[in-house]
Formats: sequence, C-alpha cells, structure tokens
Amino acid sequence: MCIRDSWKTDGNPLADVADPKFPYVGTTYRLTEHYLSGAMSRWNPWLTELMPELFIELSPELATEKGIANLDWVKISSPRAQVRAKALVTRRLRPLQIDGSTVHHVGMPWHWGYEGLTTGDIMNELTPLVGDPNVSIHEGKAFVCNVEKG
Amino acid sequence: MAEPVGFFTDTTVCIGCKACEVACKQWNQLPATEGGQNTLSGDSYDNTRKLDGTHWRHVQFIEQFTEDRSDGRWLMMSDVCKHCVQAGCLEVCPTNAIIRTEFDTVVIQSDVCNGCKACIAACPFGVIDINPVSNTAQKCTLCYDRLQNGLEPACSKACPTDSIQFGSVKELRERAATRVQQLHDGGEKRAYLYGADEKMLGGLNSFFLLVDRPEVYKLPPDPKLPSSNVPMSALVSGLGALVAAAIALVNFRNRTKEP
Repeated sequence: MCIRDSWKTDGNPLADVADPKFPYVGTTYRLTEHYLSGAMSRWNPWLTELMPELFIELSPELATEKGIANLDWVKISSPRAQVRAKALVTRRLRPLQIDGSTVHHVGMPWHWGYEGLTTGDIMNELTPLVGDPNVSIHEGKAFVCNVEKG
Repeated sequence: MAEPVGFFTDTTVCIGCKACEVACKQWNQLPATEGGQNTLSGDSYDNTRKLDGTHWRHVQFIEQFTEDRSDGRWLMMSDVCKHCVQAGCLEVCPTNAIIRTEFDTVVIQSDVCNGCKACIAACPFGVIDINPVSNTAQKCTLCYDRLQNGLEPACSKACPTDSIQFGSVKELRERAATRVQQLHDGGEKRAYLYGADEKMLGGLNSFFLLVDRPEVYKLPPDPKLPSSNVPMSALVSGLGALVAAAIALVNFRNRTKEP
C-alpha cells in the first residue's frame, strides 16, 4: 500500500510489513441501514431493528482455524486499538492468495458507538491515519489486524 | 370496481437495502422489534426473520456459495402479502373482518377482527400474525389508504431499484413476461414468474420473479386453499356418520330382540 507518511502523530502506530502479530487483512464499510457513525441512525428503532448489533464478517475457513462459531464474541486488534464484535461467519468473505500463501480477510461495518438504542465498539479506532500519495485523501479502509475468540 | 392492482417484485434487481421495510413501517406506524433493541440473527443480513403482524414487508437474504466459491450468488427477495385472488384468509374469517377491496386487494379491518387467529393458520404463505399493539391479526394492506388517495404503496415508492413495482396486475404481468424474456436472452435461464397466472390460487396479485426453486425463498411450490380439504373431510365425516348409524341400528335391533 502506498501511503503518505507525514502524519506520524501520537496514537497512530503502523504495523511493520508482514508483522506476524497482525496476520489478517481487515477492511471496514457501511451498511445501507445506518448513516456514517450511526450517531443519528442508531436512535431510530426502525433502523436499529434491521441492523441491531456490531459484527465482524469472517470466512468459515478462518472461523474454523480460530475456533470461532457464528455469533461468538471476537476480539479484533490492530497496532492502534482493540475492539469487540459478534462473529458473522459467511462464505462471502474469501481467503486471499498472496505470494503463494493464504491470507485471511475480515470485514466489519463502522456504524457503532457508545450511545443510542444499539451500541457497540468504534471500528474506526482500528484504522490507521494514512493518506493516499497523490492527494492525501484518508485511506484507512485497508489495514492489518488480528482476530481472536473472546 | 377499479382495475385490480398489485405488486411485481423482481428479485433479480433487489439490492437488500430494506428501504421497503422502513417505508412500510413508517407509513403504517408499526412498532420495531423490542423497541429497536433487536438481536443479531447471525443469518446473513436478515435480522427481522419473517413476515408477521408488525413486519408487512420482509427482505430475505439467501447466500448460495460452493465450498471453493467458484460459483456463488447472494439472493435477496422482498417478501409481502400475495393478495391472492382466492384468498385462504378471507375464506376462513368468521367475522368478515377480511374484505376484498375495490382494488381487488385483501385487507383486514382491525376494528372488526376479534383476534381468533383462524386466518393465520389458513394463509399458505405464513404472511399474517397478531400485532401485539392492537391484538388483532394484521398484514400488508397494499397501503389501502394511499390507494384511496391516488398514491402508490409506500414500499414500491421507496424502492430505489424498482425491484418492487406497483400497477395494474394486467400491465405488471406483461412487463414481467418481457423481463423474463430479457433475462433468458441474457443467459439467466433460471428466471421465472411465481404466481403470475391463474393456476396459483386464481392468481397472486402480488407476484414474483425468482431465479431458484420457490422453496429456496421459503415459498410453497403448490399453495392450497383451506377449502381444498373440504371434500376429503366431508367424505370421512360422511363415512363416520354411516358407521355410527350402522352401530346404532345394530344395537337398536339387538335391544328389540330382548324379551
């Protein structure tokens, strides 16, 4: 990943390349049911009943390897933070083949926070503060992380 | 009577955004599960699970992936009351709370319903359930109040991809047939219409375009009316009556023989 390295601020450590402590690729995304950090949509019961809890999507292959069952609590860590979410095991997530080896891939929405009808950990605490090399647009959608049951 | 109206739900363009569910709940002022403090189901993105008294639209998510993911698809389908031309619920309602409107839709009148639940058992699609707020049986009304004021139903209005289309059933059937042909020509040979002709309960005014067997979408392949049980039940009852009469006759005869 090409990153702009001029944002070396406190609380923004980056993992070394191929750091064994953070072996998985993580990505964050939105859901149609919530808006941005959920500060507004998590107070609307018609929306929270549709997406009621924070989750992390992982492939059955990784879930088996880590002894994680569907809906188990999972700890996700990056050099910057550790958060918890419920596991959603699905074949939609597929292990990546990188340089001849299998690298697992996890995905999680970032609409949760500490207040509202539904609350959950803040996924953006995991993401790095990095920018793309051309125009410095924040490029925190891909990062490395670790996943453990708990 | 106005022209019969209904829905054509084209599941191939549904993106699973659930805007229909929210629009339905807002217009009809239906409460959320546990006041919104629902629990994660763990079954794909489906957290409301089924149609019932407070969910009149429900989006199903069906994940079909082979083990190596060489073939895979994520089916989404917005389910709703089928507004059957021969409606099981309407047939069994003892209080006539369930009516056929001037738009050929099936509506439960909450102020007439006494909550006996006969319609819940009679519906072959499992659409109806008790709304705990009113304690009466409720389901999609095809937005009867909106139709009376010349508006289309809230769900089809909100659908961003036109997966849910509202209109006269005649026109929708023509449009749906064209769409099936278009999909077939494009290589999607699995596309077909569910309930778009008179063979299924006289026709479903709310019909669907599917790309897998009905069971995959939790739909019955051959839905039956409760009255289809009547001939067999009548025969069994009749035979039972004959047997009882025969026993009575024999006993009566035996008694008259006694000195």
